[in-house]
Amino acid sequence: MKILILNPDRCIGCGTCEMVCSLTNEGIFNPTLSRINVFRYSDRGINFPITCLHCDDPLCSKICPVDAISKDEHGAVIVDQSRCVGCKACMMICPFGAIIFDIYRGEVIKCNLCSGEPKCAQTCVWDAIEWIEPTLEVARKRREVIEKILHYSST
Amino acid sequence: MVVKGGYGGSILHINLSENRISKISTDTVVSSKFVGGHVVNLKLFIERFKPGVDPFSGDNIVVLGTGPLTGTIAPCSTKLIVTTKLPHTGTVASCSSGGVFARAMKFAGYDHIIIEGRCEKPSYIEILDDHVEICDAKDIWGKDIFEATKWLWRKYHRDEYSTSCGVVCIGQAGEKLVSYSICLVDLFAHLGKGGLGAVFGSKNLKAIIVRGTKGVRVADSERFMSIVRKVIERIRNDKVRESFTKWGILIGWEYWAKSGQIYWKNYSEAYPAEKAINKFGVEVHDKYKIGTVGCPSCLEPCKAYFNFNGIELYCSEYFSMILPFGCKLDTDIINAAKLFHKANAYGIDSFEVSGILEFLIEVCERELVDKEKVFVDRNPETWSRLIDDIVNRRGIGEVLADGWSRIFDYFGKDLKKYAVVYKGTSPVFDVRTLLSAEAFGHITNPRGWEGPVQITVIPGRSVDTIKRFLVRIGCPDDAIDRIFRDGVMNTARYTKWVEDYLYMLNCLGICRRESSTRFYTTDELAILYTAATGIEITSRELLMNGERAWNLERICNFMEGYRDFNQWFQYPERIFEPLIFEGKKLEIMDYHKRRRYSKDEFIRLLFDYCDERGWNLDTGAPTKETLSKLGLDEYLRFLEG
Repeated sequence: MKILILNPDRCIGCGTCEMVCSLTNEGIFNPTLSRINVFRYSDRGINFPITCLHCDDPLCSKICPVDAISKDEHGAVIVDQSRCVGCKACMMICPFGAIIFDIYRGEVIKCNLCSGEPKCAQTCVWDAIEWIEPTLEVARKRREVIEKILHYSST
Repeated sequence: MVVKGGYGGSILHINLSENRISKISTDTVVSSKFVGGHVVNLKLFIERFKPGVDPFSGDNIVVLGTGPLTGTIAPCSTKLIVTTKLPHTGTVASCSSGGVFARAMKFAGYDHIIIEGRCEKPSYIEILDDHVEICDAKDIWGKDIFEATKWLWRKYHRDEYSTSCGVVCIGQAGEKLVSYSICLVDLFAHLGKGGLGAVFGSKNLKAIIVRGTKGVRVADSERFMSIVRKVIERIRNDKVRESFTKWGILIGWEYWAKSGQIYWKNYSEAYPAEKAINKFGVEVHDKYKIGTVGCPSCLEPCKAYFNFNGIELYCSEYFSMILPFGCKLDTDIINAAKLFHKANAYGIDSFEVSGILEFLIEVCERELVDKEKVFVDRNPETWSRLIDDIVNRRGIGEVLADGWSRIFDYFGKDLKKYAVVYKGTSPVFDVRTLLSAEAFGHITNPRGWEGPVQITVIPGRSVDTIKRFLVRIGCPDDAIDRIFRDGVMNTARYTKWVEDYLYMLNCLGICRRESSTRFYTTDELAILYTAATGIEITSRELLMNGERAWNLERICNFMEGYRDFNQWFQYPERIFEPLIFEGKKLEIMDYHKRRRYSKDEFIRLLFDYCDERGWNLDTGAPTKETLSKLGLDEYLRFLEG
């Protein structure tokens, strides 16, 4: 099983993920309707992508009074719009601000991992968003730590 | 013309004097002949232009434009183009910048914004989707660009709308009408060489803030994405992606240093290569770079956030600091950073102020001016003090702030020959080191600023590489034959085609940097345009949009009074004196360094340029036939009147 990984240190702030997301889900290029957003602080040289991390034990699902939020077979936390009453409790409780309120339709929207083929990860040339096996991610982190230790011990 | 996508839909018309805001439908203006951005800016400008207008009067119009690809996923599509009559050059010209602004403007639904008139008191324009208002700027007038922009960011929640909120802002230099003042866009992109900042200042206009939430639709998203995916894959596989993003255009620094393309001592010498590399090269850059900054949609960004021992810089390129301040002053990186920070805060053009101060150093050294009147040396503290004086119009700063004609009036017209300028603008390239389109284009450019920057910015490109590039940009075979006809590359003829190409990119809203353009062919751009708008276009027709923009800009300047070949194609006499570089004397040669050009031969290149453009050799302006070929017959009246 694959997971969505965000690597803010690699993000350059191009926002291609926002554009492909809003096109895929809404048929328009519009970051305000994107399920992923990049926060760009040009005055600090920081670019930070934020989207749903698809928690194993999602608080949004727990707090939903009408059981509209569940997990699908790809591990995505999804909203059943036919049940949603628009109370926005999920939006309030999400610690990452990953659930967005669509001001035009008046309903909450969030990442659904594009049914197991997240377009944001596919189009990110900098690998700031990846759709990978978790074991690979752990292995990479370990390798990075080893490289850092080797670098410091050699200097 | 029924437009199915790509455009924002409206052209916003703001009259500052009358506090009147109106909108025109974009559909009534655009077509395959006028695709957007630069060419539509000029179409809107020329209809309202009053020749001879004082750039600082309310009658001077400012047109801001985005392209039909701006606001889409197309890589590197966030270009803002601004057309006006500039005070420093006295010509009608267009300035461009990156930043978030163009995209935010498009998301708010506007393809162009026309600004005329003058506010009664200091103001700024607030555009929040459909809501447009002229607001009191009392809280930010008198403040530097950093303070004023951050004030606007806080007020309009930039942090929450970081990809759809943009600010164009001037500093004290623009407010005080310094003729080479500029704007900063979103604090990291420069806009308006030639004095756009002062045009804003003359209108009592401190800033424009725009926030857009509407997004952009395209007519055929499947076709659009099929090209976009190809381009993204090319960027993913690009071998220099990592290094370009790390160093930006500094990646070319070593080439420029070693070929003598870094000038100082008022363009009489090129800066020593080893010194340039050691003092300002990539190792020094890396020491102070904190993070990457780029325009939205750019996949190989060229900008960065730096901290130079406490001096924070998040403005544009490192290059704009080390060239005008670092090398010309022969100082260290920290002094250069201090001066660059000051120039950015005030909103003054670092290249132009250094050009003027270098000129003064030379005339002081030659004892041609009274030392009581002015004394300038190669000392960062002197420069820092003079920049303060210029912006505050104190003492000699009052004279220097008004630009070259006031300087000659004050110090004497006979000093003109020491001013190395093209239409009043200090150059960044020089034909003696490399006869590139970039250097030659200083002469042909409406504001004298750099020629079209593309592959010839680096010396030593092979004939085959250049021919392949010309094919990619859509240059026809017969023109390629003319460029290489005599066994020597004709830079004049080449310049015409790359000028058209870069103006075409300005029409679409695509960045002209090689880190963007080398991933696109003109054929693909034509498909993207058609897929976005639903308007059919061929690559030849698309490239002609760039040529149309170039011709319309020339027509505006013909109307302005530049009716003679010699009056239009200006160049400094110094380029005919040898340039000293590490003991060698460099003189004008062809791009591949195969033959030397005498002064007469070099001037004849300008005739070749006119021939390639289809321009009259007496006027240096388009002929009737050329306008007819471009479908611009209706503009002939402006040349006859």
